[in-house]
Amino acid sequence: MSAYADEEIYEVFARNKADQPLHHVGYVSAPSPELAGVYARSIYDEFMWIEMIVVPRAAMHSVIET
Amino acid sequence: MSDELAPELRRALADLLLGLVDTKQQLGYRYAEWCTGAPTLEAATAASAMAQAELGHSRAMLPLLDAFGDLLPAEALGDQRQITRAAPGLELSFAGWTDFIAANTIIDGVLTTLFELATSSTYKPLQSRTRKMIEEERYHSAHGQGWTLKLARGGGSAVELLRTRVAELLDATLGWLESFDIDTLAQAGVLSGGRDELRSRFLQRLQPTLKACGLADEALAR
Repeated sequence: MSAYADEEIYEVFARNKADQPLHHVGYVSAPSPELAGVYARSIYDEFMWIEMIVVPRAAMHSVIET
Repeated sequence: MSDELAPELRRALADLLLGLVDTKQQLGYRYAEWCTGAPTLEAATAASAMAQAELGHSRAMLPLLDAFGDLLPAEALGDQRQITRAAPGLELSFAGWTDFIAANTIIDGVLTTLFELATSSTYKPLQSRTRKMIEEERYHSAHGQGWTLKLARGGGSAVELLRTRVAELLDATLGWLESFDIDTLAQAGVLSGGRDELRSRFLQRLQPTLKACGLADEALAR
């Protein structure tokens, strides 16, 4: 995964069943959430997801870190 | 089913279907050439996915040509078929990533606009194939727009090159659209809008890209 100066890391979460929670499947580097979504959809296509979201890593708050 | 159509309508429909099949096939080939050459690994994966989608769409539509064999050139049919009716700008390999993005935006965009006008088509073999294609094209559009904005933000020679290529492709693509008998197709309900509606929707779809390239006003004057 590459990271241009104008890009940031987006964590990718998805689920393939309605009764499952979203779980972390990977990350992408992208200049916008829209492009991150395009990348995530094409890279993490191993299942027929029913939901996928991307979250900027910078927006995530660490709670426990050992 | 095509035998039931009026001769003028059959000719117009055969020509449009060939244009769609050929353009998607050629666009898929051009995208595929960048599976190993895109600027980032993410973009390469997206190029690969888009190539697969375009070739899949072309293959899914290919059987539709069978009903019009008497109207189409012999080289457009059969196992060894050749591409004869693709949108201009795809004849040669893309010279650079900006060419890829320009085609991604302009040519992918015009195809999606055409399919959107066919979602309630009276010609069921076409109508039944539109939903999945439009859904997948949503991501192609986001890719083209995302990269256009990225290049525009970066400024410099890349955006100049993109502006030039977008302007060239837009002119060529509008000319290609004019070559189809869209109004005959619209009058029969094969498409839900005529030539003016198609052109207007296409330019509207391109607005974010054209604005980013500084071409919005110029495009409206075309």
